[in-house]
Amino acid sequence: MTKSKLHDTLRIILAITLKDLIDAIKNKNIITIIITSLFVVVVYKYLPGFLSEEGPPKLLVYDPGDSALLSDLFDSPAVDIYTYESEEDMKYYLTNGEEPELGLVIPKDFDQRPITSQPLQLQGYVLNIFKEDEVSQLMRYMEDEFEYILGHPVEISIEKIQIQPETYGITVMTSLGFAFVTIMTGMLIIPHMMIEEKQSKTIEALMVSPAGSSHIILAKAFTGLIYTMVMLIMAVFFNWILIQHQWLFLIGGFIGGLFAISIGILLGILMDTRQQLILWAWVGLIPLFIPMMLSLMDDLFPERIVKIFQWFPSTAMFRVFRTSMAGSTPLQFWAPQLAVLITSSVVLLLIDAWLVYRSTR
Amino acid sequence: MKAIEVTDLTRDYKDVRAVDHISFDVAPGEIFGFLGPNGAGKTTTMKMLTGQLRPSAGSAKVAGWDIILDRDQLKPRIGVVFEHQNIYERLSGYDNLLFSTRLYGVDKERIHQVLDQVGLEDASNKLVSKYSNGMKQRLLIARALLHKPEVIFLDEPTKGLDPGVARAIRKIITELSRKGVTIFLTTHYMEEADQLSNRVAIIDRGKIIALSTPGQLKVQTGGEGSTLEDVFIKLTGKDLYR
Repeated sequence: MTKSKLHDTLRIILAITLKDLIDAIKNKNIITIIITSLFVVVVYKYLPGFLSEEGPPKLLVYDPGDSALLSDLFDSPAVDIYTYESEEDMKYYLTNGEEPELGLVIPKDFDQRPITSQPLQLQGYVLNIFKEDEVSQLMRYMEDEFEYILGHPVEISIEKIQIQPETYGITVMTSLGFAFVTIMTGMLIIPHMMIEEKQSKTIEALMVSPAGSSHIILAKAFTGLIYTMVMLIMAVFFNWILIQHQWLFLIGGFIGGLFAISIGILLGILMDTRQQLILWAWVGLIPLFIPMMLSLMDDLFPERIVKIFQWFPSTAMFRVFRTSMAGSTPLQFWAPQLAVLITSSVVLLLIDAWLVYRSTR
Repeated sequence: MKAIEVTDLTRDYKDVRAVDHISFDVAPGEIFGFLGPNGAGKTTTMKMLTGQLRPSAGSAKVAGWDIILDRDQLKPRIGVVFEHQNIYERLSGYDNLLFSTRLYGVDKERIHQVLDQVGLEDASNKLVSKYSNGMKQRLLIARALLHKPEVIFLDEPTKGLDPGVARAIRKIITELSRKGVTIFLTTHYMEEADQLSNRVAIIDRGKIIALSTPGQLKVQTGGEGSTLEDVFIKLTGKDLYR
């Protein structure tokens, strides 16, 4: 490709992308998709809070010495207490929390410790995704309650626990929300625009202009990617504190968006009316969302089946989002998943290109 | 060099031959009327000449460029006004043209020139959805003129327009021809074809059945006092408005 041809190609793609970006903002169908997607994110974010019953804060305890403090805490209506067999178990369940909870290790010799003028020291743990003021409030509450039970001041030193890539709890619902936004935006906005071009026959005007089908498809893909990334950033606005690795979140969003867009373009090529699109888009959503859900049900399905669900492209995207919220990002939790997403996107885009090529013959 | 050269152009749709070995030339600056009943092959011919459809056989050059081999060079040299008003309704008239300037790599200043040419300067910032049919048709013409094409294809440019607007559009077509732009015109209005065209071709069942000046066709086929419509009905056996 010569330099001037490349320049022309970029100019044409940019022209169509700009037009589509402006046109989409004024399109009530697209606005509806955007609002619906964001609504789902907000619901995923705040629904657990609305559904959870008002009650005392949760205290997750590992008490190897069967201390008297634990027996007193069980009698207290001010805390909702859970005990675990090991410190690891306690920490694991702490990472599944959806609201601020305190993990506590009561030393084996706690009851034998001499009472001095100094406050008693306890080691506490909280999940790193909660705001500082929420954590401080919880600490003050717990220290007051322990002082009331023991008759002596208690000081809890806090260590923050990082979420793990496979942790359940808040990251699952949030990642589902991100995957929903990515899939809905990429899969629905693009075909809506393509079908509109077909129905209003503006596609014919484009086809007699210097633009070819490849320019049009690429421009739609760019528009879709821009919308997907903007939507994800808006979704992140509600969940910023959860994202520990922004780079992974952005890469996951970008490649996940590309995957959703490649399906969207396929729908746009094959469908001629909005009614057809809505019907087939819902049919298409089933194999995208069901594996995500089923991949979480390792207690219901054999491990081998769950593993298969985990390698569906949509589940791979969901797992990358989950990993971006974890404290550490081991390669096996995101690199193979991104490879699955890239491969699926390339295969789908090749199918799109072949269908476009065939339609112009 | 001819503005349009068509040689044995043919297009098949599965078992149906929509265009059957047609040949004709159009001179630069000529207004060439391309007439025919519904389904005769007008649109298929136009789609092939504008690079939207590949011919099954034959060849054609438009503005000196082969419609199959030189599509990239052909496209900036032609303008097309479609029968349906295919404009972005949620954008203003100006924004529609701005989009076209970006597509063609044309200076933005050209927008005001074409808007002035079609008499839409005052309404340029209105959304196209608020335009009347006549305004939309003018905008379509403005879009087709934006990149100063050598050949303009007009598909039923005055269909459904009130007489005043239709007259204004015919005036624009005549002016373009005077400036040396070649016009390929399809229309159902025989009076319009008679008034505007230097030559007309009548196509029926994919074949060109007559090709001459309107005056000669009337003399040769219709007889004394006949109109182009009489010629058309006599040759095709079809009433235009049925």
